[in-house]
Amino acid sequence: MRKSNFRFGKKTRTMLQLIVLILSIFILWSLPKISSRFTIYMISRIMYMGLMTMSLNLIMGFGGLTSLSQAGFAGIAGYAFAIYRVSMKGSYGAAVLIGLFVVMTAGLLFGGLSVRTSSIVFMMMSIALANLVHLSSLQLTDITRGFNGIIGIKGPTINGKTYSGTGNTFYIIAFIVPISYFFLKRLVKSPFGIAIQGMRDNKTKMSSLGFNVNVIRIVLVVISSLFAGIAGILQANFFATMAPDYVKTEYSLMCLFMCIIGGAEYLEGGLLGAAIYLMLSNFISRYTRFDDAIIGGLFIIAVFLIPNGILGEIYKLYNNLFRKRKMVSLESGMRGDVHE
Amino acid sequence: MIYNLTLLLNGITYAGLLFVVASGLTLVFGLMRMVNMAHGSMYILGASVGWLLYKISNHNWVLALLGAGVVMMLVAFLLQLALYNKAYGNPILGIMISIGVSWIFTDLSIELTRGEAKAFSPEGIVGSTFQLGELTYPYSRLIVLVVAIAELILILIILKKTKVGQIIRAGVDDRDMVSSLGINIELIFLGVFAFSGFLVGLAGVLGGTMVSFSTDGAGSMQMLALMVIIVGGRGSIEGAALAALMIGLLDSFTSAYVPNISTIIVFSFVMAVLVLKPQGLFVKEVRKQ
Repeated sequence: MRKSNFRFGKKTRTMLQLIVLILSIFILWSLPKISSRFTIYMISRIMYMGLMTMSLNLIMGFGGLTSLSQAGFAGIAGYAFAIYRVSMKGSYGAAVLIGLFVVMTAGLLFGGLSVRTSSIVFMMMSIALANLVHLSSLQLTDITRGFNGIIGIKGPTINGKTYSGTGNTFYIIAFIVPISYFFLKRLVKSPFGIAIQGMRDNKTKMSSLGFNVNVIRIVLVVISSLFAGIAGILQANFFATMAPDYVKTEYSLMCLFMCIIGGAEYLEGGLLGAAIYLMLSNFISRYTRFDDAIIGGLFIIAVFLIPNGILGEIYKLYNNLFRKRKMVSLESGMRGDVHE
Repeated sequence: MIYNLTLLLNGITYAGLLFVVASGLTLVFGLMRMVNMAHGSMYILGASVGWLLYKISNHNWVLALLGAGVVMMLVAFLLQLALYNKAYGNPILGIMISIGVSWIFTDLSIELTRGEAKAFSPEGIVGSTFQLGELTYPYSRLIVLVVAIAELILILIILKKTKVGQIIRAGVDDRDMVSSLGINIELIFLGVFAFSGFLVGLAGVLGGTMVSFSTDGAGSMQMLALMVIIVGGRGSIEGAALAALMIGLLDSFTSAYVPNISTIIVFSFVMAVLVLKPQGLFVKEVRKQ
């Protein structure tokens, strides 16, 4: 990992991070006063898709497991939330807790079942899960209402104002996403975060050092599904609708695209990738109907040209310019391992 | 009784389609260690190309079938030559590339079919039905089964009796050893991938005749093919055939009796296989290199 010569103390750093966190929330909250509705709409989408992608960054970039079911997990949480909120007329807080509980249970089950598999079988299982969620949302018509979807999901009411729909949910998203980012950032720097990176780099070594690799892997899947679930609930809240279209497998693949473009090894890469993807697809689809094909082509080019993502390339450039001793090798093609 | 017989026949013929789709994928996965995530969209693209030929040739079904196969073979050939061979020895990179390719193919097939669901309804024997006791059953579904069985026999003969088959089988077990024996494994990859393209092109037209096809079906066909190769085991043709049979029957009966949870049952079955035998049900344990 990167080391800088100058470091703040632990407490000072935490305080600084908290201050930045609070500041960024307030800056985001003041945005609707100065920018257009469309900008707010785009920023909201970028932020919750970014959170979904950051959960993929955690499991793929740090944990070394390519999961293609992030949108599936998001959909599980979103549906559980929407069903409790609309069909059972529950309170908002309880609905959120139920959504998160259900997605963590699903993550636990999935992680437990897939714990013995190799990374490529894990990937196949995860895409099967994503497809299962999509097909189930169409088939389980009694509880998901099939194609019609669950409409009219109400957000929380604070001070007499209901936060739901594309306009108002921005405040919730701008509150939750920075906090989630803060927690994820703390997580990857924590001993657990170091342990998952160790598991990615050398599983045998980790287990011979006394770590229970299987437990670490299951916990990683659960945490990743939890953050994907938060993004899913935000999405359900944002559109005030939960429909099979929101849990398509394509969304999971999009997460992968964002993750690769931004830089899988960096949490910020998720946000950056989401911003790039959403703006790009918005821009291209204005001019041509072949937007998916163009993005697919760009994806292939990006995979070859910038395998570490944009952030990875920026760090590499920075290291080459200012720190002569470091070099980045492309050992696995997708992952830049830093050798000192 | 007749209802169950219909379900049985539907399950078996559906299994035939699944086998034709998944056999190419399992060969590619076994030999090249690469999961072709564009397989589902290649299936749809094959069906769309077949549809185009079908329209142009004034409803000539056989031409559409073979034409789709040949066109998809060329597409797969070029794909392997231009892109997939760069993913040699790096499965995750292969997945990424093929996801990008699948988006391109999906857009292409939307353009070819105008995004509508289409079905081949040829005249003559393919479009007609036959009597089996009290049961009336379409020939089109039976033809899928016949093609699947013919293909199974053909592949088994190639794999077990010819030199190329020997090389492929050896490549599935230990690729590095094969290439160190002086065999041009890249050429074998190219051939196998082109063959898998041919099969998926055939499967597109067969599937479009049996049921119908639309671009939305790419994802679910991809998933079904993946499930077949998970259950059957990597690179095993007999395994793929048996797994396709199991999944086809399971899908047919569960969607008739418990339509709401049929996908969940099929998925749970695959998960159970993964937990109990991660290598697949019908594959011999190969010592890890």
